[in-house]
Amino acid sequence: MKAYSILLIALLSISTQVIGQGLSVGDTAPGFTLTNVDDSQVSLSDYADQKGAVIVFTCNHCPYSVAYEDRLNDLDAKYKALGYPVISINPNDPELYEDDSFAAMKVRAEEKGFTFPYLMDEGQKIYPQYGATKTPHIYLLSNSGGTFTVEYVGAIDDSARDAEGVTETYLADAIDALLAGKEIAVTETKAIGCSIKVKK
Amino acid sequence: MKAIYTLILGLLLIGKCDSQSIETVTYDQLEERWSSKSDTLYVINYWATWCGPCVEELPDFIALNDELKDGPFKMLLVSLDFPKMIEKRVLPFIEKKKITPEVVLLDDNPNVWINRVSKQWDGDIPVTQFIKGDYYDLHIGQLSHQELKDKINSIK
Repeated sequence: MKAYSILLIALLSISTQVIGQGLSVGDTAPGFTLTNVDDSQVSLSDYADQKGAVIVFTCNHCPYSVAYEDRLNDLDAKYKALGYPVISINPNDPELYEDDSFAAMKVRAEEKGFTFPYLMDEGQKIYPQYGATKTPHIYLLSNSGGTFTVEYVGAIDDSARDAEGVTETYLADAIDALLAGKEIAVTETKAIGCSIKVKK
Repeated sequence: MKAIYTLILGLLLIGKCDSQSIETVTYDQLEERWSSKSDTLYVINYWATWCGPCVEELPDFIALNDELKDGPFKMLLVSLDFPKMIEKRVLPFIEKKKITPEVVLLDDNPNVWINRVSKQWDGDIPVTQFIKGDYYDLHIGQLSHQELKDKINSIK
């Protein structure tokens, strides 16, 4: 009987893992402490005095990520002051993509003048907890007393290829709704991205 | 005589345009390319020149197409490169990698068409659709040579 229960629990935990592949809206976001391109350590808990945070899984090598770099700077410039700063995390294994190495991240952050942290997911431990599958992949979090809750998951807007072609600013709309104390109209969106690279 | 030259030049130009361009489609237009009322096996692979795992699996897809193209089989390689990259990257890539299956470029609202492919799919590529009659399957992620072969054999 005991063996049977253990088996059942094991099966249940496998199935929830398969179904709940990542964080959904309403879930509590796991904390992290990762190294930034300026060699400092950045933790989600450092942002406990903010209204929330915009977690962006992104990287150097992916054209879809590169296409959003300027827009991320713009979003950070606008929303950091309003309590929703951008925190970007590179989830790729640098051994599989040289462009995504920590040294290359430093270069890119400098070139583009990132106004936000660009963290290395050392050992690729954080992105699976969020359930990110690709870059870019966004998790908008709200903060209540140091507990961060997922409010929006998905894309930045509906036109990766050029900022001129944007008709829906999903992420900005979601932050604006939070700031206005309104319900977020669209809480999940999908976009094409580069699959996160893991060693086989 | 001059008219004939013009005609020949014109035909040459048409021929040139034909081999040097790929069609840009919406998902609606793409869906018109397969039919559930046929015994044709459709293999629709979504890829991009910048996508490492996509590029890795391409030779197996090309080989499969070579093997089956004379039968009730149709392969479409749907590029998700940005439209402005067609001339600069996609066409040179097709030539360099000797890609023989038909390539089209999909340009549509991702938040709509990704869900039409599958609610379970997040938008990370490669993915491959296998369609034959009422049979529909989506494989998310890279396919090894053996996996692709087994998949085709299980459908045939």
